[in-house]
Amino acid sequence: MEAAAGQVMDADQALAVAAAAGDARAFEQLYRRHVGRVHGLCVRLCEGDRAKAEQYTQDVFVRAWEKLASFRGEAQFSTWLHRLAVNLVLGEYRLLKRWISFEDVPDEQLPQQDAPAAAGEHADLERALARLPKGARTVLLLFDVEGYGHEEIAALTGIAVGTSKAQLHRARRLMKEWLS
Amino acid sequence: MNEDRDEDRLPALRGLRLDAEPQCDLWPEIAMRLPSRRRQGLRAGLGLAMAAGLTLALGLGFLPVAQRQPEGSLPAQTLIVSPGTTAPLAGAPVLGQSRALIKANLQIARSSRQQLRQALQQDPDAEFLQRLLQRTEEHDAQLHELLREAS
Repeated sequence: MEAAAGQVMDADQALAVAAAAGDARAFEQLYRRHVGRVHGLCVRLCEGDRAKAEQYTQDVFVRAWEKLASFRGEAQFSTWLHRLAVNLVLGEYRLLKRWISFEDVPDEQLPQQDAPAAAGEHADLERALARLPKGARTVLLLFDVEGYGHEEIAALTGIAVGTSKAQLHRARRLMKEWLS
Repeated sequence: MNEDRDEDRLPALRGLRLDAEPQCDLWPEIAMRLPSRRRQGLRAGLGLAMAAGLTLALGLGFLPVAQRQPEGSLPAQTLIVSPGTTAPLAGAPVLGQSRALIKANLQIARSSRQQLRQALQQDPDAEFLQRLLQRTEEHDAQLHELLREAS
């Protein structure tokens, strides 16, 4: 399993090196390998707005092409790319002042069943995530799924570190309640 | 160090589906938007090569060359070599006033070769650059031949 992961990383790095030298076909292969994960991330950060997520996905890959020279291979290419995506999407939200409100909506005022339709064993999880206030959901995704620290989340979203921690604790508590 | 991470992380999140394919292939749009490093290199190479090739062709175009005629045929006549054609060279008498022009063309050919080699360093696989370099070298050989005959 580790060997396979290493091979994937090596393949990505080789493609990234070729793409950084101007090989658009190598970059297309990187796109094919990672578009699902990048687009999935954009969909979640865009509240399920697929049109907007597709636009952001395009922007992410164009930005990646422009910044490939800064990819040193110290981290996995996928990590580098996902960080680029989060920076781009949240950075634009922040710049356009469309960023989420972190006001403390009381638990009892949270929606009951307004999640988009989801099928299979992930349905409960998706419904629970959709019920979370946007701020809490974003912090939960960034911290628990994407591996960001509170300082990074604070810098990305413009909220205080303490707010990020509070949102994470609240999100976890609510999710545990709803999923239990 | 985040004490939150491992203690309270929701196990359910491990089952979160993270991939979501876009509804259509986004690559064509992305490819069109890429500021192409390779294309920039190619454009630069192409610009250099075209400039060099055009200058060389124009130089040759103004070069009067007497066409070699077989014995018993009409007297030799001056040939204006048009771009893209190869002048018949062997034994062709060259007008004295053309020597300076030949030397000027040789200078252009030398400069063209240098520029094409630089462009090929940026993009070694560019076949059109290789072809242009080959043609430039052929022109260069022709010019040397003309100069030798004019001496």
